Amino acid sequence: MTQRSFERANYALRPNKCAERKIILDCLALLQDEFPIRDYRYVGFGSVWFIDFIIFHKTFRMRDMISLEREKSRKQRVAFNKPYNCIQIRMDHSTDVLPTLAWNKRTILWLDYDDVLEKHFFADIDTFCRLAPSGSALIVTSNAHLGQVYPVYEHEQLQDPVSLLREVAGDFVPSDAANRITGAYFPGLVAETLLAAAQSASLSRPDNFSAQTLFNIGYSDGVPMVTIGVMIVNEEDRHKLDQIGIANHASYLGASDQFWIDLPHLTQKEKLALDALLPSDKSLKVADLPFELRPAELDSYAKFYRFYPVFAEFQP
Amino acid sequence: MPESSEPERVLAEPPKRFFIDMLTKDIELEDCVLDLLDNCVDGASRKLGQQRKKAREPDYSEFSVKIGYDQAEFQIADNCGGIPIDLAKQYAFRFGRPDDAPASIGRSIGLYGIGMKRAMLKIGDAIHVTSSTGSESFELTIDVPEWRAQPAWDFEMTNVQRGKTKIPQGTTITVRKLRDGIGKRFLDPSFTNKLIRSIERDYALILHRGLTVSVNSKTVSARFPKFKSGEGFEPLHQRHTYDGVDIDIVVGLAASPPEDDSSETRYPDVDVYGWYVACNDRVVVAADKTDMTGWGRGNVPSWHPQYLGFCGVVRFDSGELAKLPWKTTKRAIDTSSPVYQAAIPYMADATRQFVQYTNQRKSYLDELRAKEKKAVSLDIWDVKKTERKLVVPKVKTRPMVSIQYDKPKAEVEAVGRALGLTRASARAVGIATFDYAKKRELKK
Repeated sequence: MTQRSFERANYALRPNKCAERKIILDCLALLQDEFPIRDYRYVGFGSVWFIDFIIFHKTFRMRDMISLEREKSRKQRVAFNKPYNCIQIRMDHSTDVLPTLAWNKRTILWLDYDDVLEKHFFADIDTFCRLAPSGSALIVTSNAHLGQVYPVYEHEQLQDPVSLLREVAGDFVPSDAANRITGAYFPGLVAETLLAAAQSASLSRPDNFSAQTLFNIGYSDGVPMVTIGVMIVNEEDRHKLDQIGIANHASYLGASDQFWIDLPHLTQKEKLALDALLPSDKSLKVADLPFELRPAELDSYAKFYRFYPVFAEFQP
Repeated sequence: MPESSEPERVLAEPPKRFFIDMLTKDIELEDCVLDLLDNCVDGASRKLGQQRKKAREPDYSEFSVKIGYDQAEFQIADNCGGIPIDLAKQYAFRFGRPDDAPASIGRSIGLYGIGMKRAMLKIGDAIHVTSSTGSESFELTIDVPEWRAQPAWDFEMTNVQRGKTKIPQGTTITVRKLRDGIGKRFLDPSFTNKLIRSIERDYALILHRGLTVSVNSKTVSARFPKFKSGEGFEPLHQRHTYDGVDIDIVVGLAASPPEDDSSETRYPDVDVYGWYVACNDRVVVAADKTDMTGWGRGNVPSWHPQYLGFCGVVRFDSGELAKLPWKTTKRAIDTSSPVYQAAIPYMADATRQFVQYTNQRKSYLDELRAKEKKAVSLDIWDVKKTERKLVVPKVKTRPMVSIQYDKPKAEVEAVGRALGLTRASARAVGIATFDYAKKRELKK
């Protein structure tokens, strides 16, 4: 039997996932001036951990929250773990729930899929981008492991990875996909495909709707994952978003190339040693450290050290 | 009442608005862009024709077309010879090809003298054309709302240079004031992805002849199924002529058919296989699996996933455009056209040969699958030799069938023990019982 994703890991224990969450919080905090996040509805996949729900409630005091859970056999377990009274739980697949929600309120929807790209991702993106009010934000996380386009088939001849991708994502797959089926480029390709789907659905609406990229990040806590964020805006809200100019605030925000989070797995001793050097106005050099790290790892750590999770075992 | 000796006239001229709406409504934006690209290809053919190069195997490598667009503007610019002033005045900007128009040079793909105008009107309200043959040049500006309001149908040429023009040869069409919804389509990444994929496939034969096409600075390369060759495989390749039209048919195995064709199986490549129909190298119908190309007609079975891997290409080539079996949008076949009807029996026969192969293949699966895997893949333009039949390997092993049945587990185990098989699989017990029956019942 395959494991449910929440049985595999507590999301809080993945350092790069923590940095991802930090980027999302940073971004939403910036938006607050023009877009009152506190009054938004949050829709996500709380699982039994509800990490994102807890953070959004604590940080932005959001109190209209819906968690979607497809594991119908774990209804009691999910309800038992619900941390706050303001969270509603809908025991159904996102694709079945999203069209039934009342779309009269600005919403942040985080489709935090653990899975490889599937057709229903694009159905969910389409539903949201066509129905959600202007100023709503969509976050999509997807597995970006290259292996997903090389499934184990008995009939080898049907394994063309681009065709397979196109079967799942249709015309949202970039036309140069064939050159990007490599470990290094695939996460960017996945993100571009998701962004194209959001853009395409938004453009189909009246009032000059469009999808504006908030962030496009990749990371790997074992498996490469990508997370994209867009805000869907009419002309008026687009103007407000332009005024904020999120790209000017951090290198990982806005519609630039994919930002790759590369946090190392550190021992407690290493972490404390690095913390003692931070914050630093000069960029740190790997050569100056008493142990080995890649430059990208050190850069990532310097950016996100305040959010690097600390783990300990305790006996209650 | 006495009849009037003078017949009275009835007004039949179409109002422009009606005409424009009718013309532009039934065509997709993508097909409009392809229509403009067709004009560039024809320009290149015209240029080669002047240079007395062979029209049959044209080399387009000196020609390029740049297509670019954004939210506010569309532009297509080529160096494909330009439009001569007289041609522009008499025919190029006229709606429809007049009866007295001279036959086109070579094997052109511009059909009814409608594509370019229809495309420009579909895209936007401010149209600007610059064209130069290298020696003469002109410009043409159309303000569509203004033009629509005036009774006359003609456009005004400006900057006409009848010799020694300094403008390099080629044609540039720029459209601004995009019509409602067009700018958004141009912004939509899925529009561009689909457009590029259509050009890759529908102009594959033309791109192979050297034409360079780019869309928003991305160069487009040819994409077309390939045919298995060698290891006992060769595609069928027939040439026929009908009423001055050359018919070229290639049918073969583009990939190994699936072993498991049940409904749960995924078929990622499904839009690749089927029949392709091209007129003067321009693909009009791709990966067709309907009765339009003969599936399910006569003794050809309807399409089934068992036939995945099938690729058939039928090419019609002629200098007389009216004889080619395409419809005005170049997205469908005029199946009633005599030349198409003449090709259908050959196509059906070739399809049947492929169907036979997939049936035969089930009995010699391991052997044929291995040969399919070892065979090389030939591009369509490298299929030179004619083969009257689809060539497939001669198989040596005896045909096999598979037997499957259900029996109570305990009984199967008991029979196994009785036959001296300990801890054997049900499959092994089944084979042993067959061998037992054969030994007892058949004479040697």
